Amino acid sequence: MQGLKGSIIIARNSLILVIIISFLAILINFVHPHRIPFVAERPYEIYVPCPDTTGSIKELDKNEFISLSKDSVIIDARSREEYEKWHFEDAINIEYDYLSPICPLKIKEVISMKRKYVIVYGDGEEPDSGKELAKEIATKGLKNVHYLKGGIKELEK
Amino acid sequence: MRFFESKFNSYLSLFLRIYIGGIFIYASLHKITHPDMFAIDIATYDILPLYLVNIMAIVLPYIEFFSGVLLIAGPFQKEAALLISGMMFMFFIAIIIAIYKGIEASCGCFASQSIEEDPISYKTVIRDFIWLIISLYVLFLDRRPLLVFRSMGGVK
Repeated sequence: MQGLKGSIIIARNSLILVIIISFLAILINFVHPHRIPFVAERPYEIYVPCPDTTGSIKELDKNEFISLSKDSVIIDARSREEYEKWHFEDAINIEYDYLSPICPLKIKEVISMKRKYVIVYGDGEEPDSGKELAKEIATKGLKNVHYLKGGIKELEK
Repeated sequence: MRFFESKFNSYLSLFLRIYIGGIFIYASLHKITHPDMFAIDIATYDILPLYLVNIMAIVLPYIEFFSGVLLIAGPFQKEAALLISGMMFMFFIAIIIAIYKGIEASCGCFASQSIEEDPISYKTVIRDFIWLIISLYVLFLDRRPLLVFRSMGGVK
């Protein structure tokens, strides 16, 4: 072991090295063919891969949906505004975004509700946001994930 | 302990230094030649404020490179081991945060790799943890460090 004095010298030397190397790096950046400004002028457009929607799910019709609903976490995959206009009783809103993966905290929230099934309904369009969200949730490892065929249109009939 | 004073430990540590130092030199090369791409990798983690992203992308690869060189060559070997341990700890925490946030992207560890080749995952966490342990070993337990270039001095 170096002892306290030795450790302080190592820490001090490391700091001096960082300062010298940083200064050198900044100088090199001035003549670098791929030089970048010290501060980014606008936020980077970060590539985010589309959500993985390869999970196994089951399709439900309206009657099956109603009969399973008491033992299920019902998820409304539509936008917040559409959800607030009307949603199925006790349904929670997880808006499906075709470009960004679902937040892990939302999955935790669904798991913490400790129900037998997870049923998702969406806009009923083609592709159906409910079906896509159900597949993504199933991909995250949840079992018994279903979706309502026809989505909200089926519930409104 | 006698083992840590032995020549065997010095040679073991030298091997570990070459291994970790080599990784850091290799990892820094693409970042040094393409700081613009490395800046995107840093931004993807969504941890640093925007005003620190570019300066990090400019400075960090050179610290990686010179730490790797000094760790292998010997002079300032302890300082290099301290810097590498610090960076490994920082990368380790950054990857854990990225996993928690559900960021699906390349880890950016070797910059040129795609998400398929080197994604942010628990494998990356384990790998970085092992490298952190190795760098801490060199920092604290390499009691009689060997120098690669004898002219710079060395173990008597």
